[in-house]
Amino acid sequence: MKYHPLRLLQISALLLLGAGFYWPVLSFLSGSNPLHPEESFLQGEFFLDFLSDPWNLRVIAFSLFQALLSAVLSILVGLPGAWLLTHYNFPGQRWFRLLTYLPFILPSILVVLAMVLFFGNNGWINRGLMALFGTEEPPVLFLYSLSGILIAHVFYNFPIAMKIIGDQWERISEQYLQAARSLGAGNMKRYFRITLPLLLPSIGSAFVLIFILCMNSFAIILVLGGGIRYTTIEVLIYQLARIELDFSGAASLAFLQGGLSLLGMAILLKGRNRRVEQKSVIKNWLPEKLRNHSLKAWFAVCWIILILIFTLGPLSAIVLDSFRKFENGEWIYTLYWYEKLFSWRENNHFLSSLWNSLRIGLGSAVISSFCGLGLVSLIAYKKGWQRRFWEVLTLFPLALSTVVFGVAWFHFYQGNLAGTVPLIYVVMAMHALLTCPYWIRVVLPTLESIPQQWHIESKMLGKKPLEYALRILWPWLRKTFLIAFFFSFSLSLGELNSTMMIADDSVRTLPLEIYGAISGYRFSYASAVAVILLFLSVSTFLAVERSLGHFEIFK
Amino acid sequence: MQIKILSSFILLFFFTGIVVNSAAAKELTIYTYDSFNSEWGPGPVVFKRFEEQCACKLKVVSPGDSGIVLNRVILEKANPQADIMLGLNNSELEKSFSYDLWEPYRSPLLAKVSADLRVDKKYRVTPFDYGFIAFVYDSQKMEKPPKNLQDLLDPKYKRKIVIENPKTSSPGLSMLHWTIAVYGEQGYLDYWKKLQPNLLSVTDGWSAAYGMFTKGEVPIVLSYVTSPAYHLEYEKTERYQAAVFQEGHYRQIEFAGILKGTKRIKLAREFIDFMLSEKFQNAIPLTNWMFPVVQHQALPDSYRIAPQPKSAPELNAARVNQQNSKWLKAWSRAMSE
Repeated sequence: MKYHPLRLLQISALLLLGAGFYWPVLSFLSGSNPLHPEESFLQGEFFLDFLSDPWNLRVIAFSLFQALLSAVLSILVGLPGAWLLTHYNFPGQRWFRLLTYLPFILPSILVVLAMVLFFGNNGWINRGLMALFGTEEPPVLFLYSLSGILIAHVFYNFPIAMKIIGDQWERISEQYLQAARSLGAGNMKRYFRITLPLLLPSIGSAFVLIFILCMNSFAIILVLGGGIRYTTIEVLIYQLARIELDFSGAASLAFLQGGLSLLGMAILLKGRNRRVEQKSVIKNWLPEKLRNHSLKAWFAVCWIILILIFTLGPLSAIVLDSFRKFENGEWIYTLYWYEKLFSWRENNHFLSSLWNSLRIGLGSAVISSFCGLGLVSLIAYKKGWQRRFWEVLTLFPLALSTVVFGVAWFHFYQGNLAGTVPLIYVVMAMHALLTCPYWIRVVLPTLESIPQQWHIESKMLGKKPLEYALRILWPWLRKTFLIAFFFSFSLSLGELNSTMMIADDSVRTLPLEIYGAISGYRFSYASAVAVILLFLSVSTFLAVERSLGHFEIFK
Repeated sequence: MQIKILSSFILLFFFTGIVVNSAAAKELTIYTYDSFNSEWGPGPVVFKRFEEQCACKLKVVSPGDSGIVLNRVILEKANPQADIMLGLNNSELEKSFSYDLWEPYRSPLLAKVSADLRVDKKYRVTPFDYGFIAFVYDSQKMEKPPKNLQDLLDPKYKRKIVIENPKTSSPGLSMLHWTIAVYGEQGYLDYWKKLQPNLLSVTDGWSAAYGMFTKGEVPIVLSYVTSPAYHLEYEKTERYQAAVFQEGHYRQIEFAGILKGTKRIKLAREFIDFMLSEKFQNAIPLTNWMFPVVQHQALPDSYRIAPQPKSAPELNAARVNQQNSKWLKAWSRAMSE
């Protein structure tokens, strides 16, 4: 075979995935661990025992049920967004898009508290409504029940659906629709017969990702679900690993949970053979359409307002919280916490954490991008079992509980890497492994919307692969790469669980700082750190976007 | 050109991570839980004091809550990386004994610690602070606080209480043990079932529960008797109070111990002695919000609203270790009926 730069990338990506994920996890689970020296973790007896208890079966059923429901709802909320962003331009569009990604960056404790601050019984919405109607009882009561879980999951995940589906939508040729219209197909018919089927691959892609994320959700399920009635497998894993210190049980359950997610994926992920053509849709200017009393435009505006309330509300609750301080029994508004953040003092952990977070975030996003590029090239345009194999292989790191991943990795690190590789690179690699599946999910649908024919044609014209990549792939995928990079970066900024186990003080990151402040009663300080975290990821997004602009010269 | 500058920046960026490790002659490694060593915790103060005293370097590693730290110590048993583990609580004690992790040491200063805190008769671990879980309430929203566990069942508290989940958090687990100590194995589930309608949420950890409380979402939260002292010390308010219960309060004791296989046994023993000295003990009340095991000086003024319960119902540690998973199982099943 001829030398191919892509081949090199594929091999190194597989090496990273194999050595960084499968080897440590599988060797740990198969018994090379000091917690359980005499036998392997995965014991048939444990599974039989666990599965024969109807209560446990109910937990499994609920885990699947809530993940399924959350994924469906996230897609239902994300679809109009995808439609809106592909068909309309409106003032502040870029910022709106960016805003919806922000919840992703925050550690779950803050998301939970933000939801409580905004939607809680004593939250902004309820206090506002109570003052308006002069009632004593809070009227909005969806938290602390199944609907609390679902709303928080949608708030978190609909941007993924919006992004992945929207990207595909932009590539749907208007010609199909025009042809259908000329044949007399109505709006609804066109949507269900043409648009929706063409969007299906991206809907599947988004669905799988959101489903796995919700399977592993933890704080949201407990706090916003009310805590007792709703238990998921992840909660049981946590209980075994942290409270009962029964690691073999935790690892076996994590395996079961991962397996269930994989099963779901194997069923859902389908090869895609739909051809879409590049045809840029002419976007309408939303304010103008509004003046023309377009019903669709008004629907779009309602959607935007709804999303703004749901996203901006909890986020601004955090921002506001960072400006207040409780003193003499009263809340006062002050810059105190920010002064504290940036003041020079002996134990200012904040500045070093900021530096670490930035380094680890960028480093892992770069690794994740290269790794993702290698892996995505293995999946793209493949069909059938081969495709499923690669997809499942690359998604599994996301499906395994991070609690277990962290411990397995720690054992691996102690045995093989400690003392030779600086810890910070190890953390970068770990984050990259966890964020790479997102990268792949985001890029894959867009990549596959490039007709394979182009590649063949360019080959026939004697173009080198690199030239093809730079002239055709790069311009087409640039925007998607940016978003994928930003997702990886943001996820790394918020990541906590898996690295906790190997971390020492040289790799303290901002989420750790947030947890530290909260356990020291400084809730508002934690909010201030969160605001910086948000600011950091917004400015990184803008910086990356700008610097990508410079690479236009390749066009 | 721009690319060159950019790439040299990136290189600089990543390689600042490599710092030549100057091999310290005397270095003691301590594992502790994250909040102990956070900026607001006792770590920065007490570790610095010890370094001044011993003329050595401390390497402090704080990978998460005490469950994670213990997991890590167990994983490293064959090849120990730490000399000391600081911050094990009473419900984890027996587990650690079963892995035979400790190098016993009887500090001469232990004589100053009251007898009921010296739980381990083999001196494998040494207590350094203790506290009691308690229901903390907002006195602006509630005039008459509950006086005992039974009062919490009153329908007037419907959806007004937030606690932590025994399956995922240590105060939550202590609450479960508290009710077992008070109502016995026959009665505790009954109590919990009656309590359930009054619980707005059962959170994953203390942080979410206490956050919900201070943000005004609920007037009662499961926390510690010392929580009000924080608000008095730093926020100058007595609005938040701990409800004193007639049954007494369940006690959490925190321990530290020297790990087997340490190569710096002398230094490690010096640290355990230091831990019981005033330089360490005096820092505990206002940073870890627990009671010191040796009172070298009067408690800070803000501790006047942190009541010391007269009695502490207890469970035998061996029994806890044996029965814990059974209790948790029974609890989660009873609560989801």
